[in-house]
Amino acid sequence: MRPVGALGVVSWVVAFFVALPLVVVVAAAFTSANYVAFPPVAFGTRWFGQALASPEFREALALSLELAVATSLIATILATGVVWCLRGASPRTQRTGVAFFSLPLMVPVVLIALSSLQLWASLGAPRSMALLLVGHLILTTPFALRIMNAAFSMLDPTLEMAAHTLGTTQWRTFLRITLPGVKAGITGSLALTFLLSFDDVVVAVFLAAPGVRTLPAVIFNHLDQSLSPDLLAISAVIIAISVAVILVALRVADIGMLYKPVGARDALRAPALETP
Amino acid sequence: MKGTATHTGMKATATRAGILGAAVLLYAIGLVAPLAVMVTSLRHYSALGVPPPGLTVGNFIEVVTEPSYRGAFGATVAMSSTVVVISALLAYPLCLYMRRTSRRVRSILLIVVIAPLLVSVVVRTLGWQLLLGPAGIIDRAIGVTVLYTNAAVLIGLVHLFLAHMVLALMSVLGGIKDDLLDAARTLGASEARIFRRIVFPLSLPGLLAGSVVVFGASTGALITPLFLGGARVDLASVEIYRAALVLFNWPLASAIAVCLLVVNYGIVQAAERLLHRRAAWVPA
Repeated sequence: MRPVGALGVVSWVVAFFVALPLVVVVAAAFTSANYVAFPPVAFGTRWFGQALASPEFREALALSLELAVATSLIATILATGVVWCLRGASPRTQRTGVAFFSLPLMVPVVLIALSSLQLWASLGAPRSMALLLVGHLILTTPFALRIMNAAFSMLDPTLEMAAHTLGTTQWRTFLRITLPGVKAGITGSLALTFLLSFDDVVVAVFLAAPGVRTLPAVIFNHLDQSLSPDLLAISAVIIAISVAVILVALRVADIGMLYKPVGARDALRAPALETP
Repeated sequence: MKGTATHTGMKATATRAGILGAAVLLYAIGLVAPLAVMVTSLRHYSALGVPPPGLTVGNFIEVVTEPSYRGAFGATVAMSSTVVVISALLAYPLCLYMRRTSRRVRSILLIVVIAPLLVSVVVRTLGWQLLLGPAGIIDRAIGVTVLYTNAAVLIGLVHLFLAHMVLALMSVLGGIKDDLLDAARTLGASEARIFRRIVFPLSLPGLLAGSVVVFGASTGALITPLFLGGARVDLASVEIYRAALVLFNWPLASAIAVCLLVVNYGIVQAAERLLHRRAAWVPA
């Protein structure tokens, strides 16, 4: 046998390294002192109250949540629709379609942010949540599409054919057979797109304006100043929300699906491995 | 009866067209806008007033000839390559362990590794500032302030993108059938030989896919170099940010962005070709 012990030790050290910065933020937020210290000097929860009472943080949190909910709903509906539309097509068209709709994944986020900024400025569009929404949809829809594509590919088409043969209308078939069949994919897509939007800082910073600043963009503005406990407290709130959504997502969906194919070429190559 | 069926059929077709239309429109914005950036990169810039009309390659000449920009690109490629290598070295043993351990341990490890991927980078940066900064834990333990050095950026980026590598590797390592390894064992192959001749070659596509994602993500990463590297660390993404949002020189920012895209694409293509050719040699 190979030394499983050594591998195990390395694995847990890596996991520790990965968890460390988040644990530190949460732990340091529970302090009653007026300054940031780790390990925390005196346990207390007052900074959470203070952070959530601050209008700057509260408005930003509300905007972030609204934006993330809107992004996840629209991206998931669009992705479901697109995959559903592509289903009737030939495998070749389907692959091309998925590759096309994955294209934004190959553009660095900085470039998407910079180009959005230039596009909206040149059109004279006032900064608003709508612009952020479009930016986040561009960021998240490819991921939603990948999840929905995986979910639909596991759906048994004979069920829908049976429904059709029995005289069910297309809509009824979609609502009663297709949608329940891809429920796990939809939950996974909603969760992932929510998180991607909720976490985004690059697009949010490039498109930020007074009154249109998401919570990560607000934290970004504070990052070059000395750390304050209320900043850690609001960050701990972000961690709590994100981890809760992640746990829900992992319960229902296989996030690993996303990572198999990256570009169109990988998409064609990866499945070949399944049959050695 | 027949009329209703056709009617709903048409309704469904209209819905499909609507959905596809909306999606294509969104993608048109998402994909055409970056193209527009390439046009901006050819425009003149003037700090005051209206820039002269017409197109110029001056911005690109500035990016290519100015030593500080050249240095930034070199630093970006070096940093991203190091991030790829280190995350592969960390992710590989982790994935091998996850392959053979119990389901329960595997899912715990997977959650621990994936969770930070989906927590905002600003929050993670805060955590590293606490750990690596002056009077942070590392400073108090060994008296070294890691923050605002290349090492801090490296740690931050590996932390940021390790999960991509883990997931890409898991997707191939998880797919290797135990029967295959058992067969090799039965035929008397040593564990080292099995790894070298079966597991590693079969994992190459995942390693490659993970490397491409991690490399691309590292070259584009902005927040981590900006706040963990401080003024001392200069990467291409930081230059884009500075040119766009500090100097408001959009043509220059666009030129740097276009160069970054080209460099990134070129290296990824070269790596793919190299590994693809190598993979063909290795007997499966």
